[in-house]
Amino acid sequence: MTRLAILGIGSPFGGDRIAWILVERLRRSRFAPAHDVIVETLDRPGPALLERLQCVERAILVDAVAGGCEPAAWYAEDTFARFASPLSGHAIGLAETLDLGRALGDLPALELLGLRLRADGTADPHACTAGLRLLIRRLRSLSR
Amino acid sequence: MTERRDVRIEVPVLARVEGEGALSLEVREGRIERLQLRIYEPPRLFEKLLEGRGYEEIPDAVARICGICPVAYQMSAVAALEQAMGVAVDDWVRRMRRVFYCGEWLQSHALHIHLLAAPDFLGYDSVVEMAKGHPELVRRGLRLQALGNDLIALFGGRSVHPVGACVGGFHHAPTVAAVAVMRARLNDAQEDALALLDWALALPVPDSDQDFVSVALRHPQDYAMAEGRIVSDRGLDIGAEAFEAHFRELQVPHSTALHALLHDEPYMVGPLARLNLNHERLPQALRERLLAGGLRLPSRNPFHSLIARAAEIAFIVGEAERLLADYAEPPLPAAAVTPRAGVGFGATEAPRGLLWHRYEMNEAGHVCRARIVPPTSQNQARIEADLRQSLELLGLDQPDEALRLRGEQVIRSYDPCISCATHFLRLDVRRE
Repeated sequence: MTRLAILGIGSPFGGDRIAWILVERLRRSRFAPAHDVIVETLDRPGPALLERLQCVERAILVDAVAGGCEPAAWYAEDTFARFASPLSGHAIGLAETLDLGRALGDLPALELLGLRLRADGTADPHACTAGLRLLIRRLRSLSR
Repeated sequence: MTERRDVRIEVPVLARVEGEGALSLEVREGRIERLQLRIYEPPRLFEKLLEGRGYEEIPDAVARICGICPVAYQMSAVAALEQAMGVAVDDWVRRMRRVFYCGEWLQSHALHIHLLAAPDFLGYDSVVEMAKGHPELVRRGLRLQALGNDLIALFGGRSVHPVGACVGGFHHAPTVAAVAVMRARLNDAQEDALALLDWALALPVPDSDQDFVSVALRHPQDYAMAEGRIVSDRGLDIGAEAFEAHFRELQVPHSTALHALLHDEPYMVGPLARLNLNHERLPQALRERLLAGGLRLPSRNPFHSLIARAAEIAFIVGEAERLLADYAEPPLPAAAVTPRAGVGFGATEAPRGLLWHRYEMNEAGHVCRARIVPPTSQNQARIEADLRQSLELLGLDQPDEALRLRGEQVIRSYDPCISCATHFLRLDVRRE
């Protein structure tokens, strides 16, 4: 059982790659997580995300969001659906995947970090920096 | 009496068919006078976009046509480009392309069966609701889909719009160690695949007895995937180069998606058509399992498409493992390519059916002209014919909700891209 998984999800292209950038910056930082923590990027996983969440106690999902008040913020699951990335194939995006995981009772403890895209859909470096700050603060809290 | 049903279809962003569609149904004196499945597909101009591009770019470009079946677009493209430029691939490439394709069939079929079709037949609005009543069914489906994704990624580098395929073969060969891990997973998945098939055979689906034409590839020995001749159950037997002499695409006023006809008649492509034409190519044990489960082939019930997908999953899992036995990395994973002018044709079996490509190349290896005929457009006319027969069989005096659900079931059984929306038919009925 893995204690924690930090998963940047979404497309590696366009504004959606902001989660990939954040994960890469986390890896390069001095806060690179311990051996029992998974740090990965997942390219538009759809329902396959649920397979990745098997045998994980807690997962932090990082994704681009459209809208929202802050450049980077923690979201509750029920509000995340309003801001999450556009639907992926077959109308099964992140929100629907999490609904499915919840129905199956297969979700670990989940925390959702949303990085706001610019109005034109491009990645905002400020959102990435703010998101990294929030994430590192949370990792410190979890390690105590 | 006149009934008019307007249908709105909400479709997520997806290649080839996206936007809105409608089903118009006009009934007079208990008979359907007009039935139109309308699809509003914004032109994506992919064929034009490919013009002027070098052959090296084409596999990655066409992979973007569909997020669910990118491998199919790559495999039809490389087959056509290799024919145009006289590239001969070796047996390793042919076998590994088949494994690559197995991954796509597996993930696409598993997704369709569990997330799109099964809720229809088990009385649920969505897979989320179905998961509460049938959690193990859904978990099994997700396991199989994930295995398919990982099999694609083994050769393609990633499962979404993979980048491993190239004209001549692959950019990179998987390591022996990675293949050993995959083989073990495929072996473990046999039980899931057979259990899924047994479940599908026992699933109650509506009765239907329709006279339709099945079209698929056929190979002399194998269950056709990436190679073979285009055949029908009415005697058609042609090479990919003869496709345009027999098949005609046409624009219809009520849909921006092209319809396709074989000798001016609708026809079916996809898993049931493949199974109807190729069931004797399946392993004996699998054929016996289908027979024991009550499936008589060829089938004239389009709702058996779900069983056909489950049968293909059972086949794929064993076939991929068989092809990866004694795997060794080749000296080179791709044949050398020398650009030359020419015309090439490629036809392979996408999860949804026959996918045909044609390319004209110049001396520099750049595309002068491209033509792509995907399975979703080929099935449009057949879907309309099926809707007509299925709704009449159900009874046009049935409640609107029953007609709408049956219409959705029919359309979804073909797994066109429009089936991505979980509930896309809204009927506005006016009775006099």
